[in-house]
Amino acid sequence: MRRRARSIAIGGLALVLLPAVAACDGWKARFRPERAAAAAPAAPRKALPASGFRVRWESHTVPPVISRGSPTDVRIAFTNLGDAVWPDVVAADPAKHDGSYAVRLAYEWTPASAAPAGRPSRRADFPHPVSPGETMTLLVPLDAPDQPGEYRVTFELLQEMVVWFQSKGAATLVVPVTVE
Amino acid sequence: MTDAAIARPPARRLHVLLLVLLPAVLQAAAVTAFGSRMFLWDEFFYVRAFREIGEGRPWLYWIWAQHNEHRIVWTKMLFFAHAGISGWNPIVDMYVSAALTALIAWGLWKLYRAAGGEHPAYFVPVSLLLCSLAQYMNILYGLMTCHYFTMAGMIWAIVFLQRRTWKALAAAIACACAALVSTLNAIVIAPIGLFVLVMTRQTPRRWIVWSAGLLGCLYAYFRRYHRPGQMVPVDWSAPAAILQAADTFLVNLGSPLSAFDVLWARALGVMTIGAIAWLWAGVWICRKRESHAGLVALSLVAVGCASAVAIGRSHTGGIPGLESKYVGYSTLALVGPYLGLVCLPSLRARNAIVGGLTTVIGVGLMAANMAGFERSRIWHGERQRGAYLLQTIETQPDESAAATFVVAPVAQIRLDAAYLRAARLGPYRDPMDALMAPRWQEGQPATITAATPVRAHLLCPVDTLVDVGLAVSRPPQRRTTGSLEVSVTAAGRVVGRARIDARDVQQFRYVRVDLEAPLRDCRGAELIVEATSEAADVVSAIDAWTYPAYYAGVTRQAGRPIDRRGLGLAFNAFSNGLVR
Repeated sequence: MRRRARSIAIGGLALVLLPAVAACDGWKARFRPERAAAAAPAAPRKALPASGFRVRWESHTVPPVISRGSPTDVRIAFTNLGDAVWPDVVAADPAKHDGSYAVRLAYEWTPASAAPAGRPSRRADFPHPVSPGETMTLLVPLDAPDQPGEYRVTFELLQEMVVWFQSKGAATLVVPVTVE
Repeated sequence: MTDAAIARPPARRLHVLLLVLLPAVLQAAAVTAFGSRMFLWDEFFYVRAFREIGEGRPWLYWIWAQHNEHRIVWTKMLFFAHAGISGWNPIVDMYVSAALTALIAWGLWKLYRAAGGEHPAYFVPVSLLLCSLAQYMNILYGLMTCHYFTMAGMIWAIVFLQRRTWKALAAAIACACAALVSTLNAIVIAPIGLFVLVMTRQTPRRWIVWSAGLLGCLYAYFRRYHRPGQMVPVDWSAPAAILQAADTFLVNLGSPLSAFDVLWARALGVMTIGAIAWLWAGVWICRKRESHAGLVALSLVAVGCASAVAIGRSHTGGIPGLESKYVGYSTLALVGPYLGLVCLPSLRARNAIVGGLTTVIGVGLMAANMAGFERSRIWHGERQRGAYLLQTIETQPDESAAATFVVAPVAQIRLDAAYLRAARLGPYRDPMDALMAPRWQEGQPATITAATPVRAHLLCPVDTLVDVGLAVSRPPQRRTTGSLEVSVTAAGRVVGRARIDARDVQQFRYVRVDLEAPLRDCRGAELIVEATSEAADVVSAIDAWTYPAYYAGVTRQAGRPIDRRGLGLAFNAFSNGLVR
């Protein structure tokens, strides 16, 4: 009798358990993505939405005075304040990864006396895509000009083949530097 | 006769318990050593199921849904049940497989006892066969619980069929149906069960009940069944196809001891067929049809499953009969004759045959385990690299992802990976603290001579840095001399250094630098990795490799920056098993 009761109890438990588990919201919640945004990777070969071009420059280690011709690597930190992932070269186009549609940092030396001209020509690639709210820190080789004088170094973001962030209202980072 | 034998208490219960637990413990040890959280092939298929559960959509239909030609009901219920707690960790399934091996061993012990076997020592080879690393794929692949459920179901169906009570018959039908809804291989249990009932001289009423029970189960199984597209039947009109199927059958039967060598598998397949024939003849001659029905049935299960592999897979290319995942069933082709012949003391030349069989099993097990150990190591490395690739899939180009995740289009894998990351399931539950070059196909050599050292100034890309690897190679036409030194500097102090003889660089490899002590809170800290060489000129130098930027840093050679490329460094790749 006891044996039979035990068998019935085990069988009953098994029968009850699965539907109970299936109906349990707590169990289902474990398979819900924690962050909806994280579930959406950067869309390949797509221009960022208008709300994706917001940036905050956090910090830099560009020295105020630098010896002419000397090689210096500087840290530049900035945060994605938009609501879209900034793709790196691979995420921008996983098949070709030729750089188009990738978000990059552009920078350039300009004499302080010269009028603002053109866009920065040198580029630094992101090592991985930058999610909304994420701060990216890059090391940039900033080899000083051979001629002493007053300069400014301009840093700016762009989405290659699409648009410069500045033209979408984003700030640039301009740092005055004296080359001795 | 059989009831009494099964009911008889073993002489040494502790020995029996150890023999039953031994394969489970050894298998669990293999899982601990080589198990990985990485999903494999068909497991990706169930990402959609978890997504549907998370979205609150109906999902119970997944349990009965076909998986190729199988239904793997218990396997799916198992991972659905533990995924909420374990974060869908396939290692849990692997441990369940180990536990099921104990259940299988217990069932085999019952069949051995039913045949009159007494001495536990004869069971040792069986225990070792059950957990042999020849089955590494079953042991180290979570989804393969389906084969263990099938084997356990079939073996216990045979155990219960040897008893003569109606309850036992009901239990046998339940076990057979449970096996069938795991994998379709268990279809063989329907005729084999009938064969056991006939051999043990049970009443026709019981034959009818068994047949009706199994027919009902088969009807339910095949109702709304869709023949999978990849299931191409053997062309019985083509002699080459028939020969291929026969060879697959033979190789599969010989696979448990063959150490993955096809010639040995054929030879051992012939031996196994001989042992099975000897068992059948011996049982007939010695009039042991009732007591040995279970062990003969075991051999028939193995023959049936080997036939299924031959018919269903012989045309798929490669050597399917030798595949590790099919070894479980063919192991029964050895276990049945071995235990059966042990329990036939009156058979002529029985001692010589059992002695020979034991020797072959002993030597074969050693070879199979050695080969299986090496394959398990490789398997683990591949899974670790797969896990790393999945965890970093946003930075991986299509060609790298496609080479690893062959089961679905890369775009689908990327979507699945994004979901798994957001829900922290599978390999995303425990991300690796490592970094390797993703775009390795775009590597370019930078030849290092005494005058052109390479120096990477970078921001540490991992939380705790344990080791650093530098990718180097030597073009075949060069005669390298001298040595190459790689140093890692943090906060102005050299924290790791390695020197290798340039002549040791025969092809592409990593120079391993183990740090004196792990660098904790490393992420974002500035590091300098420098590679210097004694080579006087290019023709005696080796190359370091550079890749498109994958960490924040600046690489310079002879003081000049290499534009938008980084030195080919692997961070914590050795300690995570990504590089050997």
